[in-house]
Amino acid sequence: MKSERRRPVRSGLWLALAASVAIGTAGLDAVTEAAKAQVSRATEQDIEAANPAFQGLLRGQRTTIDTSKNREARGGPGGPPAAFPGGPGGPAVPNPSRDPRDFSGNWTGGGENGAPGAKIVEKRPGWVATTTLDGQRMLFVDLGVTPTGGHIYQNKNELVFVRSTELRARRIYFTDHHTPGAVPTYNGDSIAHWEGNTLVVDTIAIKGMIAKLDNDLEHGLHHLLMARPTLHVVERITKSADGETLTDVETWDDPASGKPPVVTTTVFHYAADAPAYDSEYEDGGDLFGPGYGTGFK
Amino acid sequence: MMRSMIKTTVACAALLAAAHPAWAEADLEGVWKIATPTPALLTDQGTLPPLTKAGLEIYNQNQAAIAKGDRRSWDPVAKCKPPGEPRTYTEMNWPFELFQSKDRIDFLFQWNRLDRAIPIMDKQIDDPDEPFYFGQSVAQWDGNVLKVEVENIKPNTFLDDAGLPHSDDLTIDETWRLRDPDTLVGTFHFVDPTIYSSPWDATLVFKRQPAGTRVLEDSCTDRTNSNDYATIDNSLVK
Repeated sequence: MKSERRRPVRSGLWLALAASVAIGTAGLDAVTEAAKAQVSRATEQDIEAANPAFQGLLRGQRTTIDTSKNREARGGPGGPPAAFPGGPGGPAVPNPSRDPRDFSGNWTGGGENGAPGAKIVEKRPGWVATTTLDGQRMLFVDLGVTPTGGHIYQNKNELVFVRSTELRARRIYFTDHHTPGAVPTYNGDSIAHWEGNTLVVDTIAIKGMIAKLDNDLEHGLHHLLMARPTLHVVERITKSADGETLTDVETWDDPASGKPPVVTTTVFHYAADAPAYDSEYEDGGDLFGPGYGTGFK
Repeated sequence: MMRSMIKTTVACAALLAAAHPAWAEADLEGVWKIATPTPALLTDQGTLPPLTKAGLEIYNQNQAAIAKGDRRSWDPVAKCKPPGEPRTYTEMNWPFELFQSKDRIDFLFQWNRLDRAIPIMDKQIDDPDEPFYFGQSVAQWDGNVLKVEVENIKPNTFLDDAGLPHSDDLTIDETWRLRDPDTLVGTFHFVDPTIYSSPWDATLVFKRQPAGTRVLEDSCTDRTNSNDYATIDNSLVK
């Protein structure tokens, strides 16, 4: 029996989750209130000085655009809007490729399958703003360890993983050598090769703080790994025979930590490719600084 | 002679078939970069777009701010917000990588690692309750031309670095096609009665980058040292 296709998790939940973990408190509601309390919005003087085009946004008003008006003006197709692929009335979701070396398509993870094997590596007492916003954001979304999944494109040169949470890409190149003198980046320098039908991804030169989340939201962030220049991550990714799942077994090894490597597993499920948009995460940064967009509501 | 021609034709057809997937009308994939730096978007006639009085007022404010070296008071990009559509294609003259599948097109920009994802569908999905930096787009193939309809664009974005404004009425009809294997052409038809007195058109041309060109990881907040976004009240940290 064919398994039910999953729709990607909308990113709002993950934004709230990010806030929860960033502030290091338990309970989403309480965290959100705490987060709201430290959002500093633009002053009235700022707003007066701003262009009328976005004064409303600066005032924290959520702008809703009547797109039906635009469609009528364009003379485009009328009638009800399109339905999500795989959803009620929507187009069918194509079956996943059975090619064990073809990872292309849309994948979701998380829930009961999100990194169940994660172990505490380095429990830090607090969460200090020593990194930039990107560093903070990378905590949750980079290095492909997010359990939220995304879209994979694959060609002979590279495999690109576009995350569904904030539409940013991680690139993995099919080559046998790392970039000489690779400058540390949030995604690191990732190279890959095939061992049979297993894709082996080797990543070095990772910067910032990287987290492993488990499903235990009640206790917040437990699986935190501080990326040092010595951090080395090896992923072994295999596709199931029916093409429905990708299993990513990640080995996190930081010799400088003096601790044994950590092995975690993330399972991704082939899913309907729902349209993905950009803004929730972009404005999530307002949590940390001057309110500039819609931010938290 | 005839047999040779047939062989050649078959071989060419096979090569073309291998060049792009059967479901796509054209293979646009690759790493592209704007052919000519375009800090200010002009019409196809080389003129300033036809701004209304309201539009001109905003544009002049922005121009005056730029002249004073001030972007932070008006330009969301100065705070690392996405440049929007179509400005992102011209930002920093940096490359983007284009991927396509049967159901989706992705423009993966170097600028702050942004992605513009466009579903290939015949109509818009009535889903969002808020506008987006890249707007809400759908695409369809028309022969070798990818046609994209864009609406629901965040009104705090600008169309170019020079501060061309728009309202929430803006719609953009785009086409994307190959002029030749190494040249990608994007056309943009702007309709926004609040800010522009008539529809207008602009064209951006992109050159394919050499094989092996990588789109690097860019972090806007790191690049601009925008640490003000990273200030957390540590009293909230347990």
